[in-house]
Amino acid sequence: MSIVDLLIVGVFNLVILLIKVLLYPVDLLINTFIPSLGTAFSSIADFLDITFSYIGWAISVTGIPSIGIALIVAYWTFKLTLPIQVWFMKLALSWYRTLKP
Amino acid sequence: MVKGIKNKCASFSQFFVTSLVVFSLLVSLPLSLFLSVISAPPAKAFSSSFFTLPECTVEFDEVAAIESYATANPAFDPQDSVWYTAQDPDFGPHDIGLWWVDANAPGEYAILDHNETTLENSVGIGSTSSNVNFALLNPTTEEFETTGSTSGSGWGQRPGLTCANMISEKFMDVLQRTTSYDTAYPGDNPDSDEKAAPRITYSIDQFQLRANYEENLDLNDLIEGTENDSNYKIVWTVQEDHGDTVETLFTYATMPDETFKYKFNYQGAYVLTATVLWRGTPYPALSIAEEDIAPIFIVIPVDGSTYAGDTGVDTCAENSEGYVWCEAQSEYEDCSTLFGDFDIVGGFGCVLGNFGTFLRILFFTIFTPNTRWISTQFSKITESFNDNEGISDVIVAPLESIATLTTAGCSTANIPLPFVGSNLQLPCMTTIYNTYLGALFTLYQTIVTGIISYYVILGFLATAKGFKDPQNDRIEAASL
Repeated sequence: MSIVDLLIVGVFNLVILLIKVLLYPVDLLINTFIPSLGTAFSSIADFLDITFSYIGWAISVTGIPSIGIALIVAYWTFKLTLPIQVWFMKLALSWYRTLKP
Repeated sequence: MVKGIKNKCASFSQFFVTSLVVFSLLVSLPLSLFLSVISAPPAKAFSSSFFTLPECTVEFDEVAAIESYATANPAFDPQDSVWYTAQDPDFGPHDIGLWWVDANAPGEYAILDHNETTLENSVGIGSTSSNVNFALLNPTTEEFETTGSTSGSGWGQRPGLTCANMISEKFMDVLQRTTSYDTAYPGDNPDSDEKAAPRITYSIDQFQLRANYEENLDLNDLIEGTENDSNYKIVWTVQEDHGDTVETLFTYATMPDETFKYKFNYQGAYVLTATVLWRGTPYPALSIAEEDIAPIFIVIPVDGSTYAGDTGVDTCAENSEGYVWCEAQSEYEDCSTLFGDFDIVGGFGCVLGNFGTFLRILFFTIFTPNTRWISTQFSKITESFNDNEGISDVIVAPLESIATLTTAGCSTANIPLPFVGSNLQLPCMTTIYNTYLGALFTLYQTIVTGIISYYVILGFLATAKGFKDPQNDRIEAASL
């Protein structure tokens, strides 16, 4: 794996982990009180899994090299997470201004 | 109307993502960090190569030195210690000594120096402990001529800690484990169906593995007529575990009482195998009591958890193929048991605790040279609450797929056809393109890569331009 791939996988894994942690109580409620709804959600996820399982073949049809795919994903990962970073910097600055004697 | 719906969707998605991020970062992260801090001593939290100077090289010393010191100090247990020598580049080719750090008492360490007179005034003075054990090593005889302990003032006379690597290394904990498989040799109990396996004690200090065979098997009983354990060898094999495949990296035979040493090149999943072999003629063709003695396989993940240090026992069991497999207990608690009891508070706390462990391991690993741990750690922590199906699966599934986009390899697609009873096989097109188009396909790929690179560079520049005006908030509004 290249550094770009590692960074992408790392960012996505962290986001996935956050989502799983945050939605844990919701999933717990659904599975306890409305188990059939949980099964329905899982079916959607299974459908997406099956759909995406052919992604490698679909990419091969386009002939786009893997480095190109990595660049595109890296760019959009950066672009979509940049606002979070900026927002945090501004938040930190506002706290600093508030606490500044 | 369509525009209104679009705006509403955009507002909802903005609200959802913002809420998600704010909640996760403002609540979960501090809580998880708190959990991670209280679960690890402060010394561990700062035991990272981030604080080291790269030019300080550290190597382990020979086993002979350990044995020599152990002879001089009967209470000393080599398994509890870390040994290394160091060269300080700032002061020329001086060997600044053989160092000993007691893993059970991290505040105590000794400089086992055989050139103290030269170094005393040049290397510098350091002190972090009031009670320090020390010994002086004679390099000719390889024996320790002086041993004792000193107070803080006495420590001031010792060569110091100017080599930054030493400062951090002394905090580094050592992972020490023992395999639990301890079935007696079946020869003693003919009715037993279980195979015997050698019991192994091993330790990992950063990338350095040390493993010893503990004599739980009476090798002399294995084959009648043998005189002593020197007729046997332990064959060690280190393999790199790639999931479906393993790659043998190193095989080495030692006497039963020798220490096996191996230095891992990278973080990752490894399997250490120890097999007892009889040195019969022709050695080593004959494997002793093959039907009774099983090789032992120890799964060793070299990752952030390794650096955190630990002492424990690996869980071993004989598998269907007749091998004894040993694995360390997962660092993560199994939260799925709480799921069935509808324990929301306990379950959420369990998941948060696991997340804290994940962050703690992440902290250790960030400052270490390799980041291959990400995928294994991720799969390990998600396993702890994988049974919990629900709305998170729907959100996570596409994200997981996107994350694998960059590494997705092409393979023949097998699509089952309804009513026909056979599969539609779609071969990987890249192979076909390469076969029939050759250089033309290479040219196409080059042009496509160029266009993508151009688009990405333009995008980065456009994003960077947004920073020219620090008061401009459009960047957040546009992307969220």
